[in-house]
Amino acid sequence: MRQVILKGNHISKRFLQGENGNTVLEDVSVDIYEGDFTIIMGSSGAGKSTLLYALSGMDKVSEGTVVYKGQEISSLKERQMAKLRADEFGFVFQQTHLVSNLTLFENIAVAGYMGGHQTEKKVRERTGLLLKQMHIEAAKDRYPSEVSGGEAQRAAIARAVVNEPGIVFADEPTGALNKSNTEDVLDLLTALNQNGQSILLVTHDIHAACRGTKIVYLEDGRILAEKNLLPYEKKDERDRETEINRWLDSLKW
Amino acid sequence: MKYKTLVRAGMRRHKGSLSGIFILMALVSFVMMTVLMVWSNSKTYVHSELERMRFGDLTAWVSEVPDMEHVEEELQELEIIEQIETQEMIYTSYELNGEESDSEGQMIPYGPDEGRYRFFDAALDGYLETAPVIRPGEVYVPASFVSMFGAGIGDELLLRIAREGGGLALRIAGFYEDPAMGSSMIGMKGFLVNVGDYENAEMQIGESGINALARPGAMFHIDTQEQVSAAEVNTQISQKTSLSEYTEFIYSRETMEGFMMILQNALGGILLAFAVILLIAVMVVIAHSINSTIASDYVDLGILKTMGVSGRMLERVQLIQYLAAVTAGMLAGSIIAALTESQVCQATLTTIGVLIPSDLPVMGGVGAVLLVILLLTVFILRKVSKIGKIAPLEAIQGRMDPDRKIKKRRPVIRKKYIYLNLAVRQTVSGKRRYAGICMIALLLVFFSSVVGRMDSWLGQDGKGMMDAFNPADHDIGMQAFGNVRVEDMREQMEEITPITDTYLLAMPAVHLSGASCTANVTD
Repeated sequence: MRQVILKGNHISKRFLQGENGNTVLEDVSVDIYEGDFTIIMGSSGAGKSTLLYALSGMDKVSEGTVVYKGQEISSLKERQMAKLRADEFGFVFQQTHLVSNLTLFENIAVAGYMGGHQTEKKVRERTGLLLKQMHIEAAKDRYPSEVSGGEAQRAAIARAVVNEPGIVFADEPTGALNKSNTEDVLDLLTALNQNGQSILLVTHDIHAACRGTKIVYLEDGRILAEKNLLPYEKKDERDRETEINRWLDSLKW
Repeated sequence: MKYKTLVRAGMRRHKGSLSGIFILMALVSFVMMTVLMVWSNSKTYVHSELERMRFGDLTAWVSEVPDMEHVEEELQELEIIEQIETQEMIYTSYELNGEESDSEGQMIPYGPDEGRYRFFDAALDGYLETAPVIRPGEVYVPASFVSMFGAGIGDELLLRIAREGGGLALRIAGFYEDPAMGSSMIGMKGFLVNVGDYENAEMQIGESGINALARPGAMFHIDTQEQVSAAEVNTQISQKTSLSEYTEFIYSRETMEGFMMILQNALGGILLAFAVILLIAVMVVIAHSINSTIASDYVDLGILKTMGVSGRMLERVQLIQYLAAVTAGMLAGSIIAALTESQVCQATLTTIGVLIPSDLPVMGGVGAVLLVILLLTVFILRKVSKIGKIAPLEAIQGRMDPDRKIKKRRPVIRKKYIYLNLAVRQTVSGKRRYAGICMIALLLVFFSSVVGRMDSWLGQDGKGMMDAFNPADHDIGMQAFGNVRVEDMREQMEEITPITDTYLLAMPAVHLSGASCTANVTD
């Protein structure tokens, strides 16, 4: 039986804006299962990224709780949260957000060193392996400003998984990439998921969404619908895309 | 390893400001070590030399004592006095290189087996291994004569023993170290002469009678019992002996050490103030650099936080970077100081009169370095504490640090003078970085200029500094005795030269701890 790895309970998120608060998430409850490739979709401003950051503890929730592997994380202190991020969470962003004064190798390795469960030697070996798997071995000593967007994003994915995290949070990782690089990145994420990696991905790209195992659809800060994609696992990509399109149309996407 | 990677990357990125801090800290450390060496070593050295030379707890300079042995016996009979040693000498005025002395000199007979004084080699950079034999017609003078009179080996020192040609011309054969009164801040000076020349001078004084200018005298080096105060000693000497009838002056060893340390204290004080200003400058540069780093690396700091790097760790990374520059700078400065200390000691010899040992005071130096590092550690930790407040999400999304104020008005770029416009925009955009570089450059230029000016202020052989601390640095001084009107004196003087300074002077007789003396009281 599949385990719930991450759970959002009645999450609300409000931003102060003038005299009236702006509610971005309203009483959202969601379960993310271990080994799932969960997609968060929704129209622009629906609260997709806000939900992702709330679930990852990057942003504080106004109400509700977030529970990761049975531990409530929404009230953790900064140092505890930093440890959780180092050991259990991986992040991939639309902008690659690599540290500009570290080489690609160092960007990945530093994330590895932060996790407490690998020796330095193992981190270096794993970093080398990931660079190879991501086909960016030749660029390992270059700085982020010296590589292409695709190479940088692959390095960012390597950085996210170097510690074998419990879950990878990806916020529109293909949003700034061309078609070829988008395919590469999606293939990498799919391969990771097939090896058991839990992934929570925010996208508005149907093509990306059809790589998932479950879609959570948001509208105006609320979950409007969820769709399990496991029954379509055996279908080819075009059929999956058609099925998702049909479902989204029913939601007036 | 995580620290190593982040620190190395940070240092690569901020090598400009870290290099500036390194240079400034090297200067701070060099100045600090030099102060410590000059101050601590000369204090210890003067103290130990006065002890070695058997200068007692008190030294009394006496003149024209009819029966020297009787006074010695009187002193020996006092219970509080342990030991007395007498050094004969003659008080005499002198002329050197056409310059008349302000104060009387002291002609001291000296034999090579006495072993009391140390003699410098001709280059004034070390001591002669064995004391030289002072031949008839030769004289050894204090090293400070170089700065006071421009003295050199072979110059003629003319001692005025008596009127009407009763002078004694001696050739300077070398320089000796006088830890009691060798500093150029002290007017009275001793000359070491051949015993035969001394006896001739004594004879000449006797024969000249009323025409004698020089006076025979002696130094009584008096050792007292421990736990007896100087006041008690003075009182007993004044009441129970005839010493005070012949006394020119009495100084305790501490007072002599104090006189000998005037220049070192002044130099040490100036250099210490310089080091403190430099340290403040370093703190300003560090504060500016940290603020610039937080501003320019804001996004990177946010990214690192998403990777699980805690705020405290990022603060430590910054701390290590700056402390590495600070420590390396201090180490470099200390090494430079250790390598140049002997030159500093040689350079100050002709002013302060003693060759300060050039050993770096290791314990004191390490203590001072640790203290500065501790101070800067606290300061840096305080400054980097802002990093802990950076919210990772806000940082990576480019939402500004709330502390940063964005000025929306930027210089407009026009076609005309496009290069100038672009340059101005570039400067405005990178104002923090440019301001940091500008500040470091300004400070370095300022301190280079201060060092240059200090050199001219100190003057050749430190004479300028000597004059600065001399209350009577005038070409001519005029002092009235008896019933004379100030206006008359003024008129008389202004016929010769303009008056640059006047002050009132009262010279009352005072009794201090049982000793009678004259006090010079100025307004």
